[in-house]
Amino acid sequence: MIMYTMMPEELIFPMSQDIYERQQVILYNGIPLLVARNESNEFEVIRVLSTDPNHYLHTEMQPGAKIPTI
Amino acid sequence: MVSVNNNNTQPEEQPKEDKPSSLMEKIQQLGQTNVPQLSQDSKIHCLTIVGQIEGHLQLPPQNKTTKYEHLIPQIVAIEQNPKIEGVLVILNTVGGDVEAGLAISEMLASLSKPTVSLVLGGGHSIGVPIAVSCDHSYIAETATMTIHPIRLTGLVIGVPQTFEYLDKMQERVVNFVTKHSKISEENFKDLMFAKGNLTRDIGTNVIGSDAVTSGLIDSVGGVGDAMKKLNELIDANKEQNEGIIQ
Repeated sequence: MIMYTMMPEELIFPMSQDIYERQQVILYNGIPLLVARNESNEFEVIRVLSTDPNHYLHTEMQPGAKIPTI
Repeated sequence: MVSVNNNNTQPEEQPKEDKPSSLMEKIQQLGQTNVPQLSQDSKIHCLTIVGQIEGHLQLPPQNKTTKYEHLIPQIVAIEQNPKIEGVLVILNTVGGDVEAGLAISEMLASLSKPTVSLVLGGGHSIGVPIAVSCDHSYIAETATMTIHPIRLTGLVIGVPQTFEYLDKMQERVVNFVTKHSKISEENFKDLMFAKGNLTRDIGTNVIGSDAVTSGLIDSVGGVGDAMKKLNELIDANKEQNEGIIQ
């Protein structure tokens, strides 16, 4: 089926809510991080949201790093 | 927002900092990390505008997005923090929501601290006002910017009303760009409505030096040039402020 439409894809085929809920913004040691909870219940860093360039140098919160949830 | 705070330092239990691989062990064994406390905050902060500029509709997580609800408070924090002296804005965006893009542009344009923008890769559609909103703008030699009329996706209820609304919205973008860059309204509209440049679409794709010759961007350069310019602007800003005190 080919559908010709001006509508954005996500309006026609809405994503299930749990995909949105997996990602969240946390404050880790004062640095805002966008994280996703993985299967082993850890936070995996997706993106550092800080504007301070120094925050990008911390190896423990680089994208892909795992942060244990307490 | 969940807050995970691991800042309770216990000096007796800290292993020596010599091995970088000990960090993972430290998290596993002690459940905490000791973030090196930097002696001073960075005086230049960096805003990255990447992926799609998200509007009021949240995009699915597989999209890379720049969210205005993240950026606007960050710009407010930069304005308020006296330790921050300048802002570098890095753009690699495909564009996105007009309202959100203009909101970010207006925030950057009204910031009292020196700002320098750098377009890397692409600064398309609504990325153009964001790039020109800064005090000085740079574009990488290979970077491109697509200038095209604004579009609407979604449901149209009243066609004449929607058309007028879109026309006004486009006027806002044109006004902002012509006010904050050296390009004239006529030239910008010529680029915006040019035919034959984009496949089956109207608009123009300006690359590196073309953006500079049209007056849209101030100069061609990379991150080194941008930092140098930002430091110059910071020094000039400091001198000016000292002059006012005397």
